[in-house]
Amino acid sequence: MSPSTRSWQTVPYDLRAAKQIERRMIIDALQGFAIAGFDIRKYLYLGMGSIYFVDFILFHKWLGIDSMISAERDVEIVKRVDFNRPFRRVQVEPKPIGELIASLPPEAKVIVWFDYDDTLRAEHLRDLLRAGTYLSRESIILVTVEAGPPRDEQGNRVDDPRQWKEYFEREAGDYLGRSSRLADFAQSKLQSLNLAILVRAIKRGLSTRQDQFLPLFYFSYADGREMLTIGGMIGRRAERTRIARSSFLETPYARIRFRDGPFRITVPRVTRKERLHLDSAMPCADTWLPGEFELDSETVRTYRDVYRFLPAYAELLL
Amino acid sequence: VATAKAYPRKQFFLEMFTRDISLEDCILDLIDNSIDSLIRTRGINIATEVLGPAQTNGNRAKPSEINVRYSSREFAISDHCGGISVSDAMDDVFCFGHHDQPAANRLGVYGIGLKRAIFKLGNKITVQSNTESGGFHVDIDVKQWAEQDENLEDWTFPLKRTSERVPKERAGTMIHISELRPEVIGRIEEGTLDASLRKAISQTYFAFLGRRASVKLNGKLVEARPMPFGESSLVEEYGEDNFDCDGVDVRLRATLAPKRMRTQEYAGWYILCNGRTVVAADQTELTGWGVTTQAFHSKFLGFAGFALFTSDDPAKLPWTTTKRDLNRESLVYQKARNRMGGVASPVLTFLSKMYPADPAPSIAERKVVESVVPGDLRQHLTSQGRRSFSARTPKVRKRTTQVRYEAEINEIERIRKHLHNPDMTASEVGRLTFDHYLKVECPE
Repeated sequence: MSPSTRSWQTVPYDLRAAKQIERRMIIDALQGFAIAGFDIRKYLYLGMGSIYFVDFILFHKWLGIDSMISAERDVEIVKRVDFNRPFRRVQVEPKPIGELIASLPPEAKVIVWFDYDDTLRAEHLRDLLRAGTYLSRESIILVTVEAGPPRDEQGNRVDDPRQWKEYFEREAGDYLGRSSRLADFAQSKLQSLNLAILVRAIKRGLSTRQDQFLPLFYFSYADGREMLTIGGMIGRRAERTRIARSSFLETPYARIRFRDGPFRITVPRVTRKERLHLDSAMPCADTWLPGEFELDSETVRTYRDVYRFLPAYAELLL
Repeated sequence: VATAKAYPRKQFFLEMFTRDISLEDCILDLIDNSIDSLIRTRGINIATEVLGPAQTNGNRAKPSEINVRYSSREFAISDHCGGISVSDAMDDVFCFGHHDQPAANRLGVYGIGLKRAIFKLGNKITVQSNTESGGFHVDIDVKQWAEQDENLEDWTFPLKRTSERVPKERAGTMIHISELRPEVIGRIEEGTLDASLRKAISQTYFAFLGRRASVKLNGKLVEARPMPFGESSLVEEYGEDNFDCDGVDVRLRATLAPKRMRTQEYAGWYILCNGRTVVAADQTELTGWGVTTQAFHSKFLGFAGFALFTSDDPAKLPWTTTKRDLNRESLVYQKARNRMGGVASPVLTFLSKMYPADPAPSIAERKVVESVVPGDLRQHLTSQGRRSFSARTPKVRKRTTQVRYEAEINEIERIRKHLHNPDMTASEVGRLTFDHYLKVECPE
């Protein structure tokens, strides 16, 4: 297994602030969808819980989802993963996530989170194609990949767009679409390139159905590595209308068109004391600034976007 | 307003149209006609009587015989498959293309196979058919026929009715062709046609042969080619998926191949349309390799996948006019290809485990693969729903592990010098020093 697929050994999953904000925003949206008539509690959650199961814990406690499957392909830690299962209802399957997609009950509405921690690979695209092929209408697909430059076999960064181009040509093949010039693989283009490839793979799976992939989420953030998450619902005009009528569109992170660009998750650097003060003024007006200490308006606006979702970490002596 | 002529030209059908198909496929087209006649006149249900499990009550119908004979002078195919009615002969069989109403055929789709085949083979053609209600006789001299090509009235063949009525079991059709084309004579005299044709027939009609039809090639019976569908008590579930798409019933199956069929020749996907094999042992992007699953690799030689498309309207099936390829734009094909990946994936993951990156032997999967014996695909076609392939891997205690470490080159060199053996590999030095320590420090 390549080093990049074992990030659980190096990354404390529960302490990645931007990732945690992303999770909470997705949960916030799903709570809104539940109000709009999508029976989220009855959905099946298929994720990659690793040994931490952070998303599983949140989805169960905050959304009431209790049908959950965690795909674990690292056979060497299957017992450890099973030991760390947070709830009885979480089922651990020692299989690649893409393989599980085809075996889900056809009528089940599913939230699947392909939470990859490496750069886009052909295998991921096959998983997405399969999700588009098999998942039922109203199912939700979330995908996270590293959106920075591809790395070499040892996990080291490669600073050569020619090699990035070769990498994407090898891994994405036809999904590259019209991206063929070296300039299409410049570092500043990698995010939109990843987005386009991921969406094409899902759409290929849907190509023989009447359903579409309705965009919902497009996040970018960096908890060390530059990451990208996209998400959407399999649906038709009826689902699009229900989403549009929900409060979802009022949130700053909603993206029902990918061309609107990503919602950049930035973790504001503020102290605990400052945070308590800022919270008392939230949600603030566009021009509001704290009088008690110096903070620029951009940081304040960033804080306003994320304060509801920002985790607070403290040392807990057990 | 003037009009521009858009007439068909005989020369196109005689010289160009026949280039797109091999001699073998032309002969298969003629066999298709015979089998279609059989299906039509006997009311055969392909799903149950051809692709269903074998009937054990002793009421099995005797297979109808199709005889194919050829020499460098003539070619003939004859059958007792029910024959062609005079009205069908006058209005449909010799037309280039069918009317748009649904045909009663199951294998003949486009209405070109018979004409393309006989034109490809030779110049003098006789088609004779007898049924319970009479028969007909058509003689064609292709060169003469091609000379007149002014209007649609020239696009007919002279047909003689015959009054002879035959019982149902003797009703059938005979096509005789002489003055064979030079390139056909060349293929026949070259000597390889018989083997390739025999293989093509045995593979293409494996589901029909011995069931409802039998084919003799130059007097010798063609046996159905076994399909690499393997069974084992250790296989808990076979990969299965079933769905309907636009009037086509699709059944996907994936499993392991039995031992002697784990070869390049057998591995891959088999695509059947109305029981006729269209694609065999495919390992290309056509069946999803490298698109919906990993690209084909020698470690997947044990994979066997089957996609069966069945429809009362053969025009809805995803085959091309040669029936040796798939129409990539077909919706049902695209849908099936996407789902073939889902069915194949667990089998491929299983096979990959036989070749782990860690070279320590992982024999649990091998035990399963070795236990696989030839099975009957038909027994597995009746189930509904979706299932993922899974196998019970016997518990095998791992007895070895790898020892890997970096060592200074000059230190390895010192050991080589000490042993007076400069050709020793680093790995051999490692093994020797390990064994030495084990022997002197951990004696048993």
